Amino acid sequence: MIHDVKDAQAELDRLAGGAGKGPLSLLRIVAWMFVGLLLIGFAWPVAQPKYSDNKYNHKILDPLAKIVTLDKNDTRGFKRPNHGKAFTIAWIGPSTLQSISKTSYTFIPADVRKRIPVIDGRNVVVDIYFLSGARIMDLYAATQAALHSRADMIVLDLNPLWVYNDTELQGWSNLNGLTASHIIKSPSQWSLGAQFFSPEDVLTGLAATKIPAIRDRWTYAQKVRNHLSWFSVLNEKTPPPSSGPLSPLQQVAAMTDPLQFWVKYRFSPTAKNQSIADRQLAFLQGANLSGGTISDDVVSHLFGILAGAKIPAYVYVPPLSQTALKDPRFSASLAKIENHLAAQAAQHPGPLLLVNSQSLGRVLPPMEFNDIVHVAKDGPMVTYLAHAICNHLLNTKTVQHCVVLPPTKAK
Amino acid sequence: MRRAATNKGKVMNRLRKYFGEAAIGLVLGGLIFLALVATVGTVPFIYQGY
Repeated sequence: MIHDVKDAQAELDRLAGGAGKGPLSLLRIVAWMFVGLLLIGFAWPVAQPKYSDNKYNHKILDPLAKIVTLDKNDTRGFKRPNHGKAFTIAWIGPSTLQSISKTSYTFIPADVRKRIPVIDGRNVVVDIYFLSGARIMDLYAATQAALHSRADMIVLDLNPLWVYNDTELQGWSNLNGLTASHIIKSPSQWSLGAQFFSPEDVLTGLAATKIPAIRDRWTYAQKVRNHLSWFSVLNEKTPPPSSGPLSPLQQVAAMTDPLQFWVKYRFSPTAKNQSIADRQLAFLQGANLSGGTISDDVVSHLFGILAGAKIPAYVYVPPLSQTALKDPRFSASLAKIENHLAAQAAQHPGPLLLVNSQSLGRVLPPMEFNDIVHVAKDGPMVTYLAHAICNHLLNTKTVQHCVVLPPTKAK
Repeated sequence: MRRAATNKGKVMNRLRKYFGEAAIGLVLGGLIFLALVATVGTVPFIYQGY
């Protein structure tokens, strides 16, 4: 008969022979726990994600340029295949990697690849680390992932709107575990990890390197979710018809928490008819260039790992529309960011690192834009970047032969 | 005879302990797996346009 905790303990001890009493017994339990986790992976293997799972890959017809980013919740982060003898460029960036017009939707890295199909006799493959809405820590995480892939070169797009905005530092926190596993052998990077990662990120990130059941848990979650859909009150099979674009007031009404309102309207809460340009100017002016900020720290680590890398890296600042640059407010705000970026890059010189801190909008001919930072027609930018990449590879003597095809010959 | 029976009892107790450890460990592994699967995000990313 069980009357109290002691009786329960005695009964458990009788049934389990005193399991868990003593450090050796606890150690064996932990060992069995790992065996159990490993067994799940063997007993219930899951297929790895496909490129086509990322809807943006449907926009890219070139089989040698693919977005390698997985779902925004997937802790595996990226799909990093081995391209064999091909020359692999890991191209990292946020929404500014896109070129969207009424007649076309392309990705700038894919268009550049067409202009440089071969380097040193090797086919060029571009792995696009495209992170929609990426903030500076996300770009750092993607750069770490690219450095731990078999890439032959890294190209990084630093959107000036966000690079020094210390109110938004991270959007893809699913990458934390992966990044923790990448920096575990680099004590110089630990201070950054301590600022962003939770103990769970680190533990699961490290465990994921050895235990498939933990690594693939997002896929398992999808499978389980499919079986539990009957349990949900949300009817996903027959969603209500789309209402079309929402008015600013309807957008506010659709927000699910106050933070969303703050994120969108914090810069000018009283502006009734705030345009996208107004808001993007506010983001530019919101850059904190006082020095010693978290953004500075992330950028410093970012340049540090690129400067110390054994592969060439090219960093550029995507163009601001030339129309916006005619406005002295945009031009002056951008110039401050460019100067700060150049000063930070100068602190991390590397034989294979080139940081072009000047926005491409200052050197390129006028282009069509959707707003102040997203291009609609990427032609001149593709030409510029293709030459910049080839020149950097040749100047650093990384390769012997790199030729940019004219637009008419690019396939 | 009595010593043999005592030894058999000890062996059984030890086996019971090892079996208990394995059962606890495996169940713990399963629970950790379930917890990680249940807490990984599944809500799709919706770009807010800012």
